[in-house]
Amino acid sequence: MGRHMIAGDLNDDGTVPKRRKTSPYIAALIPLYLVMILLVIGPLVYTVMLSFATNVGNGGFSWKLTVENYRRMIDPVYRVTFLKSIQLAFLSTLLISLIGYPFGYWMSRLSKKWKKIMILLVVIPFGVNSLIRYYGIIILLQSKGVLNWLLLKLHLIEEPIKFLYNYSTVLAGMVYGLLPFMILSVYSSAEKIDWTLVEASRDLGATKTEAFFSIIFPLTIPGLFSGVILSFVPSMGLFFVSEILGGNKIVLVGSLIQDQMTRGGNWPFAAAIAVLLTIVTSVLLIASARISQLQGETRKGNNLI
Amino acid sequence: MNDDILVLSDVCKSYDGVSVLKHLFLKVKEGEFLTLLGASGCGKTTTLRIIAGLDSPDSGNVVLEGNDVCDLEPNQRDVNTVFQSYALFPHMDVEKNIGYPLKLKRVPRLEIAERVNEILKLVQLEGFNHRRVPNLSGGQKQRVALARALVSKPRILLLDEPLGALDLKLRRMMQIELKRLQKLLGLTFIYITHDQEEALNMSDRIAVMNNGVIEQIDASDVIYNKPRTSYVASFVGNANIIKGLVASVENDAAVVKFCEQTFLFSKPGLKAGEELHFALRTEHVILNAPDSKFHATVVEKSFRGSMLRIVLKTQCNQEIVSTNFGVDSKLKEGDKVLFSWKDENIVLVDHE
Repeated sequence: MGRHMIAGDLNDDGTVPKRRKTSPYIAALIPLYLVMILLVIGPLVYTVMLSFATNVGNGGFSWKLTVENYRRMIDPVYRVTFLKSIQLAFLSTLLISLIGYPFGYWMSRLSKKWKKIMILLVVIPFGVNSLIRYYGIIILLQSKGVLNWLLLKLHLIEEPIKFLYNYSTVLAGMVYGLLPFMILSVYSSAEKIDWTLVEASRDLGATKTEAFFSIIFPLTIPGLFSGVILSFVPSMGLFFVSEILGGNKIVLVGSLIQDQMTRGGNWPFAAAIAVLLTIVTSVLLIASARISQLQGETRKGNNLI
Repeated sequence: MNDDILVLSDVCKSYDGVSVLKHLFLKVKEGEFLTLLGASGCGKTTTLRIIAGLDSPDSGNVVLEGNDVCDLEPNQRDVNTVFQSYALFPHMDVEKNIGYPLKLKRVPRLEIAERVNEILKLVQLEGFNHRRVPNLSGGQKQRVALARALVSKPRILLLDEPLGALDLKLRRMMQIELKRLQKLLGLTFIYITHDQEEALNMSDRIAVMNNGVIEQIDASDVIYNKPRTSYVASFVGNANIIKGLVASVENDAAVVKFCEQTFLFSKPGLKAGEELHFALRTEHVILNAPDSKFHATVVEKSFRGSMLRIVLKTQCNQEIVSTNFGVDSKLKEGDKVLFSWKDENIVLVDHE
């Protein structure tokens, strides 16, 4: 885009001013670009390249290009893992939405003081490393853990219950870890709703329920979508949740990649899986962003992404 | 005969211990254009919200068409509101906004479309059906809000400073149009404003509110010409308040002392020594007439478009404002003048 010359652009004596040089401040952005190129774009390009390399075993590879790594994923074992991961991500996102939406909405209706307290409570867990939190869950849930001890003491159960190392524990772990994102993004969009709109709908004949579904819900959809993205994308990749709480019995895409990198020693294949995962999540992300944009066009900046 | 469509009696309301409405009484006649006029914070919006059911009174009754509606939710009252901020639903287009109350009433879709088009014609927005709310101008939003509140044919329409955000020219136009609509539909309008000119322009009756009570409710001309309190007099039409002392009483007329001079005021029952307050409209102040007898000095002179505004200071340091068409414009600041008024233009008012 060239700078268009208009009358106001002339100097006081009527001459055309010299074209302004590029701002000197642009130099200040160079470190940022360096970081982006080195740490974001570089590894991404490298991963894509790696996914077409040939595996020579034990973590070694040669740059002989091949599509073998992608062809291999057609294998039912990997297909099932992918589908299972997507299924788990869908399920956890659904649960997160069902719990997080009402919670976030409820928070937006609290008094100023209680809003602050609740936000603090929701955010506090982020202060502790998530690995440590998940190991903490093991202490709570294991056979000789706190919960079983309590239930035994209360004579509610005869024998310790095996909470850990199954699908529902992994699911619960995902929900636990990602719920705050949903709560906060729903809260932020519900908080911005002009309450006069709700009063207007009530005044025009809507019951409380009708007002909720015709006004509040549509206006919080952008927040809900942000929350969905923020919980769906990570739950595809949080391999350590299934590692820790699933005890390696639940294999997800994330753990598959990690496994191929370490034990399998097949870097090109790990890279291929990672590329596919990136593509799948990107497609889902773009799709939801589109829907969210359509829904929320009338409302200003609500998307966290 | 009882033609009151709405009766508020002894309504009290306070927020956080501050009382906003103090034993408010209000009767609204069917089909009239009633304006609640008052400064901000006088309780007029609260009154409206209580009528709509968006707030409930601490005590007192709200009777709509003979039924106490205090326990009814806003959606159960046949009363619609045009909000100051318009409160149009941003995620719906014009047609969906206007059709909203009909959809809630489960009106068939075809009939909704028909009625929406009808009302769009009425508010002169034909063809705007699928416009998006953010793309409308202030005046158009105003009309859509009005159409949405009217489409379900409520018994009463409440309007909360609906023209507040519009520029002067558009305001004037909308005032005329609102009045036209109200007459055309024969609907009861309760209109809130702090703009006395707007109130005088449109209303059948005006209720002047101050500090949580209605100080006077009367036809517009009565409010203007016979204000009952000093507040009403100075809020509507900027009157001067003249404070006088009854010096003596002779046959139903009092000799009132004001600024080293006296004037006669006829009213039975006055007592000597009593302090009285009078309202004198700025346009009724007569300057330098042969019989003018009150001394004053010009302290300010300003030109207000169609009229000249002159501020005088009397001998006893009271400011008197005079506005007049084509008054002796040779007067300048510091000039000594004499002023007076005609007997019929001075009104005795209550003063709190």
